[in-house]
Amino acid sequence: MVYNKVSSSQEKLEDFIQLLESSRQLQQDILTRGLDAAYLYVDDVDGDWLENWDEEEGDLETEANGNLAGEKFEKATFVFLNSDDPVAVKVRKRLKEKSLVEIAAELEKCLMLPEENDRRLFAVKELLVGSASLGSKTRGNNDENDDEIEMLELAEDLLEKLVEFLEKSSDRYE
Amino acid sequence: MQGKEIKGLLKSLTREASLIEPSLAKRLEEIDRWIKNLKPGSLTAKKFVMLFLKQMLNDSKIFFAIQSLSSPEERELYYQQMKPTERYWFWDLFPKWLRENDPKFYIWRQKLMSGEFSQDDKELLEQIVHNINLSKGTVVQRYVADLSMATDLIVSGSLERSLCIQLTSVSDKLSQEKSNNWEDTIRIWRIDRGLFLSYNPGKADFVEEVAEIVLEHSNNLNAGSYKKLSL
Repeated sequence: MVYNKVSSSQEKLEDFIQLLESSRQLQQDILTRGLDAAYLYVDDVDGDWLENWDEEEGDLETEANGNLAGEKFEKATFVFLNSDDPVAVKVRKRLKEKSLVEIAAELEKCLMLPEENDRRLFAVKELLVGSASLGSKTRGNNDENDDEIEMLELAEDLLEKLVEFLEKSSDRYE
Repeated sequence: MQGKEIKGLLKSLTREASLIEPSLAKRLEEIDRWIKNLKPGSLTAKKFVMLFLKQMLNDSKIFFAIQSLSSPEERELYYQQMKPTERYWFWDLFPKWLRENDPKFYIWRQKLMSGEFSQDDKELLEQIVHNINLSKGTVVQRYVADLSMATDLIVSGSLERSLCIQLTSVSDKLSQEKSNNWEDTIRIWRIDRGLFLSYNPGKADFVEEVAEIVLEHSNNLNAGSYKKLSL
């Protein structure tokens, strides 16, 4: 647990240093190229992305009208996912392409499923496996079955931890 | 990355920030609304918005990462990874901008539309920064500092004291107006010292001279001083 805590803190620090390096590179690119630095970061600078900026507003407003219980769950789940718990660390690593808020929202949907026939468990597993293709570079030597089994175990651990954590947190968020 | 992806990144960060740092979330939402109302046609506007958003997202993630830390010791460790001018930006100016009203924010759009947002001094700034770096100084440059805080560069030298600098050419017709507004603007942000420097691009080695003066003042200008200097 101590080792995991140290490695998780170290990982976060390394991620932070990477963020600093990115901001320094961006500053240098802007100094060197001015506004043309935009071409380094975006493929279609002169496309219609700005004209269509508010295209998805409708979906986002619907999200914002979510119920209070949902908001509390998301908040509690976010706090868990951001913690140094070893399961949270593994999930963050697995789903590193997603923000914690997105992961919390998707987990909330999974938890709405019934437990019978392990529907909830398999939904969480699919959420984790869904990022397998993105992480495949580092797992190129494992076959698909090993990955599925590992993700099933992680899904079980995650569900167990979430239930524990949410029960403990339920008073704080009332 | 495709241009349309940046809105998703902005929204995602806004949602994360809303749980821990509401001032950041509010400012990001304000930026979203500002962009929505921009109704641009020009390529210049698109380039600027993209770079501004990239800068804002990077800085917000850095700020958010520090704010998410629970212990002062950890925060200190993170700040130690920064250069002195970065510490000043992320500890002082950027949080101020997030948390306080910016009277100039909506003027940016005017400037953008009117083409006042020019890049005439781009090469010069690059050369000055290069010279500062060669002398082991550090520099931060941000659109927010430029457009809202009358600050072209934030510079620190050997004593690691950060100084906000505004540069102008003596031949710039707007130079006097800039000079008049400069001190008012940096006082609004409670920036405790600043240097307004007019340079003469006709002088030999003026770039080296500018870098030298800037570094010297970053080390030695007293707190509470707002100095105007013409080279």
